[in-house]
Amino acid sequence: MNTSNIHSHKVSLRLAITDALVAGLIALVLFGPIVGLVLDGYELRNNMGVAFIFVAIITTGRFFASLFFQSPIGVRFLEKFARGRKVRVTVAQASTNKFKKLLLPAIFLAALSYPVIAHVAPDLLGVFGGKYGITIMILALIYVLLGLGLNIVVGLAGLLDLGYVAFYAIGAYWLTIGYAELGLGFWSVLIISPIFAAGCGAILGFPVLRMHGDYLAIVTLGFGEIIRLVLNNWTSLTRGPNGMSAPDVTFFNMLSFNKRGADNLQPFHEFFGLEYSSSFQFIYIYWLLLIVVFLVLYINHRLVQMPVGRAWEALREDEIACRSLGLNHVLVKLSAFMIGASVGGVAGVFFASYQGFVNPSSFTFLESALIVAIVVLGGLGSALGVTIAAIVLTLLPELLREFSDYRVLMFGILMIVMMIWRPRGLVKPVRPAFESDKEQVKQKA
Amino acid sequence: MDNNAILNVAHLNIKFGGIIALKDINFHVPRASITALIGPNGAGKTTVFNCLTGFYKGGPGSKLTLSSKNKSNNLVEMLGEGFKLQDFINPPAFVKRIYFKMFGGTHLVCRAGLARTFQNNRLFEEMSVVENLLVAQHMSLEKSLLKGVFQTKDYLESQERALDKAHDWLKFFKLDKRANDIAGELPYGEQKRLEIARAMCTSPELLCLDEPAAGLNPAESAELSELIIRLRDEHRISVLIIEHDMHLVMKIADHIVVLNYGEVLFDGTPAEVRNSSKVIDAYLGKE
Repeated sequence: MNTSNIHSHKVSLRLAITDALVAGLIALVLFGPIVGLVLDGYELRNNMGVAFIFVAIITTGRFFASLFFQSPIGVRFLEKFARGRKVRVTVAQASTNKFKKLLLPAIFLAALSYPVIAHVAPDLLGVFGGKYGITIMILALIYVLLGLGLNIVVGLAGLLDLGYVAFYAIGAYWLTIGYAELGLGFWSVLIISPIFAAGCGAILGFPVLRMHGDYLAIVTLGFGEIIRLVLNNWTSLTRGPNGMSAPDVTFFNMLSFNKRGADNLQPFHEFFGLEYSSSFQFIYIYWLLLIVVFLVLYINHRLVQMPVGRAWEALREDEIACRSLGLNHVLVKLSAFMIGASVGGVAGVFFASYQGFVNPSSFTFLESALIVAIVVLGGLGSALGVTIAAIVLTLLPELLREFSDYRVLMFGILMIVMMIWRPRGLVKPVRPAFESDKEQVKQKA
Repeated sequence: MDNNAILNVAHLNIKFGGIIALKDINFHVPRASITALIGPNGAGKTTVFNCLTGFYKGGPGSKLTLSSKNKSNNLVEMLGEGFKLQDFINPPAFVKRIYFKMFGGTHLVCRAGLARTFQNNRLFEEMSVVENLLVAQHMSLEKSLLKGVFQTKDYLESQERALDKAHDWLKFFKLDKRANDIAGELPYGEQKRLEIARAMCTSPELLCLDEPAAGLNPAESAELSELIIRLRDEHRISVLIIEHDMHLVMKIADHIVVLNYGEVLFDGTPAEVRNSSKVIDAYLGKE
C-alpha cells in the first residue's frame, strides 16, 4: 500500500485483493518449508495442510487489513501513526489527571493481592492460578529487575553490555557459595549481594570503560562467557555443572517454610495456624520481590532526575561534549556499570532462592540476549516500557504453551514488527519539565 | 610571559604521523578581552583549540598555562603527559604523573576554568534545554546518591540554585522561552546560542568559541557579536574565538592572532592585521 492511496478516500477492492495475494504468496514461501515439511525420524512428513491453513489466515487477514486501511478510520489511524513516529522525545506536561496518580498504588495493591487470590482460588486465574502461576510471576518479576538493571547501563548510559548475565550469575552463586562456604543465609546475602556485584562491575568496568560502542560490547560478551566457564570448571568451589543448592528462604530468619521446620525454626504454617502448603514460600518470595521491584523503580525514577542520571544520559548523547563540560567520563560510566550490576546481583539472589538450585546452564549468552531484547523492546531508557516488556516476554510463552514449537519464530516476528513500527521501543522517552523561574512561578500563583 | 594574561601558549607543537600540524606556536590571551584566532582553512586553528582543551596532547616542550581561579594551571600536566626520566628519581612528581595519567583529561581543563564550544554543534539533542544546562553544572551540584534518593534539603537547594543559574543564562542568550523544549528541535541559530550558554554554565573564566557564527544569517550574527561583547564587559569573561566571518572578527576582537601552515603569522590589533601585507598575502596569495 503506498501513500497515494491513503489520501484518496475510495476503497479499491482490486488493491486489497492484490495485497492479499502478495502476502499469501510470501506466506506460502515461508510457511511451506518451515511448517509444511516435518522431519520425522529420517523421513520428511508432508504436513502441508497446516501450512495452507496458515497461508489462508494470512491472506484473508491481509485482505481485511487492506480494506481497513483504505477506510476513513484506517486512514486516520495511519496518519496518526506516521505523526507519532516523527516525535522522538517529548517533555512531560504537568499532569492534573487524578486517575494517573491513583494508577500506581492500584497496580501495587493488585500485584500485592495476586498471590492470595492465586492461592485461595486458583481456578479463577487459569494458567496463572496456584503455585505454578506464582512461580511464573516470580520469574516475570526477576526479569523486570534484570531489565531495569540493564536499562541503566544500556538505556541510560548507552553502553551496550552483552554480558549482563554475569552479574546475575554472580548474585545467584554468591548466595549458594556464601551458604556452603561461609554459612550465610538468604537475608545477609540479599544485603551484601548488591555491594558485591557492584564491586565486580567496578573490577570489570575500570579497565574496559575507556572503550566504547562495539568494542565494549565484545569485551562484556567475553566477560559473561568467562564467568560462566569459571563456574563450570572451578569444580572445587562451584561443583561445576552439577550445580549447588541454595539455602531455604526463612520468614525474616524467624520461621521456616518447611513442613516440619528446620534449623530450630518453627514451621510457618504452625505459627500462624494455617494448613500446610508449599505455596507459602513462593508467596513470600513474590512479595519480597515485588517490594524490591517497586523500590528499584522508585530509585530509578529518582536517579533519572539526579545529576548522576542526567550525566549518564548526556554521556549517551555525546561523550565528547560531556568531557568538555568537566564530567569525568570514566567515573560516570563506572557508576552506571556498578549500579546496573548491583541490581543484577539482587535479581540473581532471588533467582537462586526461588529455584533452590543453580547451575551454570542458567547463565548462557541467550539469557543476556533476552535481557537486551527486553530493554530494546521496552524503549531504551524508559523504566515503564522495560517493565511492560519484561512481563510480556516472560508471560507470553506461558500463555502460548500450545504454540511452543513456534516460540522463536514468533519472537523473531515480534522483533521485526517492533523495529519497523516502533524502533525506539514501546514507550517513548519523556523528559522531565522544570519550572523554577521564580518570576514565572510568582505570575502563576 | 605576560602576568596579566589568562592563557599563555608557549612553544606549542604537535605532529600527526609525519605531518607537522603546529610548530612552535606562541601567543597569549589577555584577561577580559576578546582574542580572535584566524587563518586560512587548514591553518591549524581548531588543532590549537583541541590542544588547549585536551582532546589532543601537545608535543614535547609545549607549555600551556591557564591562570584562572586564583592559581596557575599547567594544562599539559593535567592531561597526563608521558613519563620523564627525572620522575623516576622524584617520587612526588612520579605520584602526580600517575594520578593525572589515571584521572586526568579534558574534564580537568574545564574544571580549571576553560570552556569550549564545537564547530559542529554537540548538544545533548534528546534532552531538554534546561537539562543541557544542568549537565554543565554537574560539578557544582549535590551528587550524593542517598541525598538525591531521599531528596534532602541541601540536595533540593543545590538543584534550585542550578536551575536559577540556568535560567539566568537562558535569559542572557534570549532562550528563556525555550527552557522546556527538546534541544535537538531548536532552530540552528538557537542551538548555537544554547551551546555557548551551556559552556557558560560551567563557570569558566576563558571561553573558547569555535566558529560560533558559521551558518548564521547577518542579523543573527550581529546579535551574537553583541552577546559576546556583553560577556566580556558585564561578566569579565576572556574569549578566544575562531571565526571566518571577518566582519564579525574586526568588529569585536581586541587582539588577533593569525595562523598559517601551523605557525603564528601575525599577532596584533585588528587595524594592524588589516594593514599587514603578510596576512593579505596568506589569504589572497602573492603576485
